[in-house]
Amino acid sequence: MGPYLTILGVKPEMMLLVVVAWSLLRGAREGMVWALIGGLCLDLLTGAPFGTITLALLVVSFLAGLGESSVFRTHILLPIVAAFIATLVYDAITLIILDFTGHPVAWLRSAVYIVLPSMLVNTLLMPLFFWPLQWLHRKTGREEMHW
Amino acid sequence: MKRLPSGSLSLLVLIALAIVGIVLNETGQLEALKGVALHLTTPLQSRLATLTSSLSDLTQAARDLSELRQRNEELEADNARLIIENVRLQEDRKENERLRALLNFVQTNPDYDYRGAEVRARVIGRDPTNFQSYLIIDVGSEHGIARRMPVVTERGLVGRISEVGPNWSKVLLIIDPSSSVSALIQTTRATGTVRGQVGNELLMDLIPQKDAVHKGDIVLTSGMGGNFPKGLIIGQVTEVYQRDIEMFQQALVRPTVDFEHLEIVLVITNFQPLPLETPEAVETPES
Repeated sequence: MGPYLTILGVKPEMMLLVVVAWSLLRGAREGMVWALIGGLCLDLLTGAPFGTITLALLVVSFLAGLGESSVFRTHILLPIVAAFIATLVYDAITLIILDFTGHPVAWLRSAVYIVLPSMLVNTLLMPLFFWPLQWLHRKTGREEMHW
Repeated sequence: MKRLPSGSLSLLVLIALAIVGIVLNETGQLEALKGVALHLTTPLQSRLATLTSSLSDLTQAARDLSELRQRNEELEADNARLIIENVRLQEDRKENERLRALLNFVQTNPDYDYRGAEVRARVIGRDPTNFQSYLIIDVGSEHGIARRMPVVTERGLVGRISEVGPNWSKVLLIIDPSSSVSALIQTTRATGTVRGQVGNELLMDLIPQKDAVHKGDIVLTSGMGGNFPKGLIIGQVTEVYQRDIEMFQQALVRPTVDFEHLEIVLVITNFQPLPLETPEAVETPES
């Protein structure tokens, strides 16, 4: 359903949100496993060079995983800020790969019509993904000490 | 003398009373007594009758309720079946309309051999990124599909085959930024190149300054370059960008195809695109 749902003219990048949220909750190691699985699945469907989405998701997952060890990891704003930055990094990596592989990339137009709306949409949608995954993390994850 | 049991004596007394009663009744001596008794018992009887009737109604209602419940379940099942059938019929009707439109299109364009192909399931049939515009259709090399074959609907040009698997193909849509189609304006025959734009728009570029382009003009494939057949509808001009200092004009084109709701497309299988020019192919003997 993802590809059909458009908000502000862009499709929400749901796999990106799941990978970022899981990396924040469980760290880069687990996040990168899902980045690999999800990325390979999406790469089968895209017209971009195979591996583009996988690579972008792996990088984002690694960066988001750094937040897992942060003292702010339980702060409500962390996933929202992470989604905002992750979308920028993810879209930038995708555009760079497209550009390097000979696909025409209109940088300014892409930034205005796709990257910025995506950052906004993904940021707004992040809580819808993060809270259920946080519940799942608490049900299945390691014991945590809360202060 | 042997004594009668006490039970037998009571029986004899009752029989005797009954006989006396019958005799009195036959002789009309009991009428007054009966009248008094009936007068006294009628209200009670009436109440008993009402109670019995109510109880009877109650048991009947319970039976009716059970039957109604069963009937309701049957009707609900029938209703669900009819809803499903209705949905299926509506889908069939819509598909029939689409196929009829495609058939009309094929009949009015008899030069090409068309192969119908349904776009694969919506969820997996579209490019998941925001930067690319591809479709996946459910026919491939097993069905005679090859790269660069044009893909159309009755509403116009959709794109071309970019990747082929045994039973699937990827279609590069004309709205993708990497797509480029040689085009002409139907009325003035002004030529140009239609390119996909970020944001699912089309831009007709390289239109000579001397040629007239107006809002509302229809844009068709020109057939130049040999990538697409001539005369397929691409869209309609919505905006013209003309500046005297530029070498060429540009026009914004709204595609006639609704790319968001594509369900069935046609692949033109007998059109032979010109081979791509490789660097080796364009090298001169001298070089």
